[in-house]
Amino acid sequence: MATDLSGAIYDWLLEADAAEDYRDLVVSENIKEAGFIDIELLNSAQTTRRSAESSQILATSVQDNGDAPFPVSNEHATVTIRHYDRGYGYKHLRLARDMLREVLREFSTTLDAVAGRRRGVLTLDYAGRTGHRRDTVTNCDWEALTFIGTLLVEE
Amino acid sequence: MTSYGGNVTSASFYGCRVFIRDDDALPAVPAGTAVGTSWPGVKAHKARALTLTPAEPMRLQARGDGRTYATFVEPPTDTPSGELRTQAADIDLIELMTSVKDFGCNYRHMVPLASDKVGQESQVIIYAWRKAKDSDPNSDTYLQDMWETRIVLNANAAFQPDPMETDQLSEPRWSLVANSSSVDQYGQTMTEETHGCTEASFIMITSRYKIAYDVFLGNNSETEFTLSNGSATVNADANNPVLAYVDGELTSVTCDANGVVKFASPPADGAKIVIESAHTAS
Repeated sequence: MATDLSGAIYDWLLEADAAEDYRDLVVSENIKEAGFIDIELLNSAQTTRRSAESSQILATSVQDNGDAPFPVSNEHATVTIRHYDRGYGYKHLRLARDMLREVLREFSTTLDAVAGRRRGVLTLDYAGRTGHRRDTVTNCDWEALTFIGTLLVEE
Repeated sequence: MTSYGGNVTSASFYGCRVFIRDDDALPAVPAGTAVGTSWPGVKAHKARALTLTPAEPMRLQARGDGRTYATFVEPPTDTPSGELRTQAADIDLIELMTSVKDFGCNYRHMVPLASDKVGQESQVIIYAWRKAKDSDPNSDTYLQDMWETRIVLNANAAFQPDPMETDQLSEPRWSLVANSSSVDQYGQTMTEETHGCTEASFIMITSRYKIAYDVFLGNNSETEFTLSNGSATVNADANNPVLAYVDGELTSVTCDANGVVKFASPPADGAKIVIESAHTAS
């Protein structure tokens, strides 16, 4: 269980039955919280995929992008999900992008209480994406998708 | 501790269905609809919002001691108005709601607008739903998903096409006047005993699952009626029953896992059957 939206999405992508099709598109279910994607992980995933010759992407990261108060006692929380791949340009990123948006339509969860106040996710809305980007340091193609959640906060 | 909250907070609009209101105040079933075949209304595709603005109670004001005060507050004299906004020029919906006909052919659809039907449109019944959360902290199901539904029982709807301006999101609108109805969505006459009032312009529903209405006609022989949501119908939950009304009378039925509703005896020929059910279809 998580106390914020990014943690809830991270848990949900890893565990929910409704997210199974998405997990199948990520090598070794390499879905991590932001900060845990590095060159070694991408190298290892690339090696794994090479033997399978699948259309999977190499990794996914889920980043907490903060939140802001929203009237009256609600909050808007922003989460950025990044897809990483190598050697296929935007081809596999496109599949993962579409699948992520599809499965997150079913996202629904309740967060753990913070300071005694419980929270629920009222809605999770797609808020845009970067399009295809390339990082020369890790030699990978990536794309970030942003989602904004409206949280109902216990009074 | 309450078993289930009647206190919800909602955010997003999910969908809307529209029926023509028949002379019996129930949804009209289109001619040619086979007995046993559901008429679930026409879905307003890409519906964005259904807004309703109840009229203000009337205040009778007087002056005294150098200030104005209200002596009485009386029920509103104006009819609630509202708006249904969609993001699609939906020919099926325009046909249904304005009583004009698609006279196009093949892949070409066309309906006349600003016709002599404007102002003469049939009354409509509209129900719209959106996702919500149980927001009663004392409820057993606090923060769990719920659905909020509104039924406009007797509306006039005037179509306002999207003006087709560049850089503007396509947003056809229906201007609504929500007239009062003395009959609820089941066909029951409203009473002080059951409803707490004898007429209303709309009904508010909060529910664990999405609510759907299927309308059928009886023929005095058919006993099985298949709901439009099929196997997604919640069929075995005592707290979320399938309710069948035959000409406004609650009638006992069973519902199987495929969403087939069975009556013990066939509803009469021409009887109007309204079935309210909960479902999990997206």
